[in-house]
Amino acid sequence: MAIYNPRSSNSQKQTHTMLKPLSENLNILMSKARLSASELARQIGIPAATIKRIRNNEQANPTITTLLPIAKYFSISLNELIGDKTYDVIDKDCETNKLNTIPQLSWHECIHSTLLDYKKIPEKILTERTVSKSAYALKVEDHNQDFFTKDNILIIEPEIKPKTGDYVIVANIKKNITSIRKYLIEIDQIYLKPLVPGLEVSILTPEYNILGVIIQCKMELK
Amino acid sequence: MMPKKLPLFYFPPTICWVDDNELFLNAANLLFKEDYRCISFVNPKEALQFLHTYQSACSKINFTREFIESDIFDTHDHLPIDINISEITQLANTSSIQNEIAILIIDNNMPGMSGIEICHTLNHATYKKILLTGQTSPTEVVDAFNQGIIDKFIAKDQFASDKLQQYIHELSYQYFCNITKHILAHLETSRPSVLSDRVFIDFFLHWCEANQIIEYYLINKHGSFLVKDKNGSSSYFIVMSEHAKDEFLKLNDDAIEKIEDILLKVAQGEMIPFFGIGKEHWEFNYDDWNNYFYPANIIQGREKYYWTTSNDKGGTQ
Repeated sequence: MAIYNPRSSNSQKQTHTMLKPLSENLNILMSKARLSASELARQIGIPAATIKRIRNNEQANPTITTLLPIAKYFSISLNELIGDKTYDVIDKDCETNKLNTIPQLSWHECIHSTLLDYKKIPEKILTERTVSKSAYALKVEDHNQDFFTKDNILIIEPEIKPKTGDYVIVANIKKNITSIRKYLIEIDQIYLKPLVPGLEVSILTPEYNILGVIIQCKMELK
Repeated sequence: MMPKKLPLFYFPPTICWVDDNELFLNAANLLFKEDYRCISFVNPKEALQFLHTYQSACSKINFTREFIESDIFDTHDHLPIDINISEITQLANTSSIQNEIAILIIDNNMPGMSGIEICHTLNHATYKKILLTGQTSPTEVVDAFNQGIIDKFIAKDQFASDKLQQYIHELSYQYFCNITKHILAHLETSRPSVLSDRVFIDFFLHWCEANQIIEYYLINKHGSFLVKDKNGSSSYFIVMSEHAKDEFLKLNDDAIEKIEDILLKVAQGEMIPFFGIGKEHWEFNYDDWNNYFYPANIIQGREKYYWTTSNDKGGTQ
């Protein structure tokens, strides 16, 4: 690995060559996602000028604290971000899909998701899925589910009708609580099956309000 | 005398008076208390005791720090520095700085200890010293002046309050220039700033006078200030050099489709941005940008400067 030495023009050149893929990769990632430097800066909290300098290959030695949020934002590894082979990865992933940003709500906020101004929600989640403007994300908070586990990110789409077998977010209007249920239709009757083992299956009555269908579950292992 | 640099902050400082003549102290206090905070001592020994234990509030604040996060920090021949401009801005809300002594005015002819003797023992002090002398100035006064022990001397029996007023004004300005000159030098590492352009300094000081501005504190590296007038109400003086303007446009050229109108006005020098103290333009959605651009005025100095004023706190959303 090249050692950065500010006094040697030779090693400076090496650093630039070494990081050339980085600026190329970032340019591809940002143009595919149609992001400006300011927009990416706002999303990840890194100064816009820093991002611009990396794009122009002027930043000789960006730090991990700069690179990590960028890699995380585009859901790629640091290796992929600064490596030679990223081009293929990015090209394949981004060609068909545009990344969408949706807000991450709390389990309580989602009851009134239609009343919220999504722009003001600080927590954002990226998804490559095509979603409606009312889509949002939830984070699984407890271990007691048999299907989803703690810290899974669920992408919720309120604008599609659930089909039998779908996982849905249900609000109990009386108790003002939300939970994940499996949506089951059987002979004109709709059942909501809890994911916590041992709890009783309920019949869909006006007491329950289906807030949306889970269309994706993201799991971070590390 | 036309100043060459602008201090990075200024406020009416404290003047410390030492004179064994109580009547004189009372008169001086009456004359200057409206514009400056005054503390006075009749007894030179008491004054000396106080001045030896006095510590300037501004000198305790670190406006710069070693930037240890830099990769070249540990090399022998590089010392990266980080300038914390927000520390300067915060002074606007720090009441303890009012006790900052910028000037010591001392009578030379006092029983027990002469003014010059006292000034000798305070030679390390950063505040400026004015010596009040008899009608003819003895050689020792001239020597003390030439050696830099005192900064001005004035004949007491020809006591001209206008002249003293002018000296106090000049020296307090110099005091703030002195304690901030090292930060300004860092700010000007790569290119001279508006803060050392005589045309701009002349304009800014006249603008302050016309608007009864008596305090100002730097809020960004372009040379913008938070200013306070005689009644204590705050506003902002925003300035952007041609170079800073070009940088801003270059930085946002990839968003030209979304904010073309605004960028065009900035490019033509009609508007300049101000997003609030400590706020960066990229922290705001393009949809909200309209709220943060102000009609610009132009000063032609070493380069073109665009300036505006704002009462809006900015960035409070």
